[in-house]
Amino acid sequence: MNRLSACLVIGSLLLVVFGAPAYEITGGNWPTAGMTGDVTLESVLTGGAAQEVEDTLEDRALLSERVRPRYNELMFLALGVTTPRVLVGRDDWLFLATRIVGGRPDAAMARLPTTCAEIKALVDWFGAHGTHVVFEFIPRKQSLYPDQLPDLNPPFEPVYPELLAAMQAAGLHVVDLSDELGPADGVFFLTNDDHWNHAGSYRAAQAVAEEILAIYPDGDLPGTPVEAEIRTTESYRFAGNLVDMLGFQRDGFMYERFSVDRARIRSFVPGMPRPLLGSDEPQPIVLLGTSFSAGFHTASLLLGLLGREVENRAEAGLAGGYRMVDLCREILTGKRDFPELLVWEFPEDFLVQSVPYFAQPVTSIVDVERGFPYREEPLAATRALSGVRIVKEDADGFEGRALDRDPRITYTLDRPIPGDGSRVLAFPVLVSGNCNVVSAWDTGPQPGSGGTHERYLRNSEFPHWILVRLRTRDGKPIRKVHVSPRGAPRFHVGTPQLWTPAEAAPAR
Amino acid sequence: MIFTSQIFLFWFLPAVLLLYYVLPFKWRSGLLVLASYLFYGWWRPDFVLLMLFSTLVDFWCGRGIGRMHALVDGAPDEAAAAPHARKRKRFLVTSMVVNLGLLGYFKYWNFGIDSLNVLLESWGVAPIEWAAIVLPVGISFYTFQSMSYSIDVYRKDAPPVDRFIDFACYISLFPQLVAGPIVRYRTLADQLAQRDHTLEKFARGAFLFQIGFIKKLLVADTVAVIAAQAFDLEDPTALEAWLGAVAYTFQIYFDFSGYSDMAIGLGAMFGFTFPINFDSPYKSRSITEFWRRWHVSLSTWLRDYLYIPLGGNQKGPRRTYVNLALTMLLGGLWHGAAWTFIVWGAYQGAWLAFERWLGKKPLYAALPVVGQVACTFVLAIVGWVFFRAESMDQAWLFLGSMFGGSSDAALAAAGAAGSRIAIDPLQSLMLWLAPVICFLLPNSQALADKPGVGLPRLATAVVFPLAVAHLFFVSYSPFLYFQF
Repeated sequence: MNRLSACLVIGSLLLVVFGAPAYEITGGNWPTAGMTGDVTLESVLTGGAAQEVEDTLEDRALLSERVRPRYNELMFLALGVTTPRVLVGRDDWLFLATRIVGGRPDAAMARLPTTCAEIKALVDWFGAHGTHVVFEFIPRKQSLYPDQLPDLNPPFEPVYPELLAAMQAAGLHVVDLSDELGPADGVFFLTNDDHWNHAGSYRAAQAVAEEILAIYPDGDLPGTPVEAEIRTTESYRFAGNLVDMLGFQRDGFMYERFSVDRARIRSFVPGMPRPLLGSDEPQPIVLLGTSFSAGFHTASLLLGLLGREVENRAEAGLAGGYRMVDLCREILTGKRDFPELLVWEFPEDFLVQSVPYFAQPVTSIVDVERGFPYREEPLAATRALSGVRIVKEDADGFEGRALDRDPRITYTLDRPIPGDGSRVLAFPVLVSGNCNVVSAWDTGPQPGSGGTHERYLRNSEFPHWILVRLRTRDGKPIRKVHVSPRGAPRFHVGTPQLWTPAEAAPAR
Repeated sequence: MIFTSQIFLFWFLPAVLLLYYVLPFKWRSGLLVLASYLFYGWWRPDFVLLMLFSTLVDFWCGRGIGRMHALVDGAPDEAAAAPHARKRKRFLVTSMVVNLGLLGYFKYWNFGIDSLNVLLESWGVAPIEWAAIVLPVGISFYTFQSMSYSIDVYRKDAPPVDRFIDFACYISLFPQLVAGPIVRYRTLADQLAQRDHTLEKFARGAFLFQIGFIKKLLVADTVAVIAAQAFDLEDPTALEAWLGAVAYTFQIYFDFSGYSDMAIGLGAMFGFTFPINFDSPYKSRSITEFWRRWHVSLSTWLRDYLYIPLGGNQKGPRRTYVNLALTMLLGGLWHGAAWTFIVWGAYQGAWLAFERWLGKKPLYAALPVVGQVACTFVLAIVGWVFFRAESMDQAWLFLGSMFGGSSDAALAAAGAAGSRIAIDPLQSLMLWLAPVICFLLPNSQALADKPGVGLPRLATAVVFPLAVAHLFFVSYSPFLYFQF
């Protein structure tokens, strides 16, 4: 190797291995910068500290922020792809791959009658307390616009009609949105996002409002009357969540290529500039929804179409059925009354790809509703940790990191509690990454002598409440409770609560 | 720590390189030991103690053997030498027992108890309950290196080491610690005491490191996605099974040879010359030739420390076949404590013995060279199915699909194209590029030895930063051979 080629080879290596840390250091990003937990002997011996150093480095890497978008643009121009998570269809339509590739979801479809029966059990509980539930069941854009998909093998097979039929067969009041949102009258989905557009949201809200008005033919709708008008506001350029996933430079040429014009449609008080977005306070009409509602003002539109105040419980995030748990937790602990009308919005994949995250929380509500109303109190117990490193602790709980595959928080109860199933353990968990939270309880010193319960969670911005009825096989008193958030590298576990039926005496 | 991580590439490596070249030579081995222990213990510091224990035992045994050599050689007659010779043997046996004991306990205990439990359950006896033992990364590699030292000193192929720090450096040297090449003590003995540091050597190392990095990050990890999809299928079609097996064949080559290139390259950057580990194995015209080109450091280790002591080819044809089969069987077991590895070893051993019987020629020797290479490649693919499969059932299922055709249910599930495996453009590109590199290009070492700037060096200088950029997209991806 001559001197020139030696310098070329060495130069390219040293530029990377010395240039990268120099760049990070000049930006204030030392290897330990941003670490939130203390470095203890245990954390060093178990590798937890090393793992955290690596994670923090990767999370905070300044170079990554600069390199990624350029690399993505290069990859897209060269190969037409940056991530397998996004499919690029015809006319630059983007699709989320996980809900499309892999063929027909046979396992979820086989479970469909069970899932629908579980939803029906919850709806019946609401019905028994005077609540009518209407489902705003949203087809994904690939179900209505399959011609825009790229060539796939096996080809994508829409299952929305089957899902809808199964829900209707279970006796649920479902609004069929396939005609409203189909391509016959225009485009009702964002080409660059996983959601509908505002026109789609509006058409769906109109269909739901028609169904609601049909329930109250004399116009005697519940709730506070509101005078509102629906307006379309000026459009603006918008790059959707799928463009973000492609990871281009913000405001760069590729970002612009996939941006579209978007105009909001919302309700306003006539003559006033501020939109009406729905109420945060309990109302007789409740909208419980996902990002389809939260990002596209469904509560505001229903409010305008119905002329009644609507409680807006729509939030973005991968919550599955946990938004319903939040509502029911307030009802079960006597913090609010049952609504008279509940509009429950969710997309079709909740019954297919997301079914564990949807069905488990739904069934947990049905499982604990017997005994309602409950009195909630903090679980009186001493906490011990295994395979967990506490990063931060506050009044609401603690943020921890998993040091091994089975992180475990054990609560040794100050007093045994009955194992007859009358008590409910409730605790909020926020996880990074998909997680299986295992709760277990013991009647004696041997682990596993009571019972166990598993619950799937996804990463989210909001904690999800887990409700577990504590029951032992022989009804023996429970002395220990364990919580194991498996699979998530980081988690926040809130202070556990013990729910006791309001009429029951405190456990002694 | 792994080579393809930010902590290694951007922090550990530059810091160690900087310190290494700032320090005078006499401190450099000490620095490499400290760096290697940090590298090895980064995630599990307790395993460093295990390596240190093994190092201490072999250092002590080697010194003991050396002392006994002197006493035996200085003895006036055989009778006077006999007690020292016995003691010398005891040192060797101690080294073997400790190393094989550690390897056996950490690597094969779980497998042994699992297999025993299967037997017990079939007899209606309650299984033995035990806590699974965690396998320390790289234990198979450093125990083999450690044993080679004791054996080489015993055979007088190498002198016993004087300084503990040199021996600790030999055992723990981070470039090749966790996945080879298995460097024998006699190869490194002189280099530990004195080694050259030249611009050309450093450049050669940097080039090999970059080539290895590209092989692992861009090729191995990309085709791995195809292999993983195929091996996740419960009932693959013939097309899916072949696609998965071929993808894995390229994955394992680019993964392991990529690691070896990086290890050899890093070694050169610190002044060491490690032996070649991969010599374009998929260009082989027979399985015998394949094993002269694949994981060369292991196959020569097995040859010198197992096959030849068993008698090699010196005890007649039948014994030669048995020795070949036994050596490869144990080679398979070395890779992992599972029946799939044992069968893979037996498969390789059977072919070696068969070719020996034919006179070191493949069955298809009459074919043109291209045909011989193609046939050997297919035999290698079949072997890798055992190597990759989670269980023997899966291996048979896969081979059944490859050679017996697709089941009706699999064909129905796969649709008109006959495959459910999603391949994105980058994966497709790498799947086409991999055979071009394997069959048409010279291997990394040959490229590194070519004079002048040349296209390979220019291309590497451009692609290496791209591969580093790719690092920002991939999650933790250890090398396949870490598990061994």
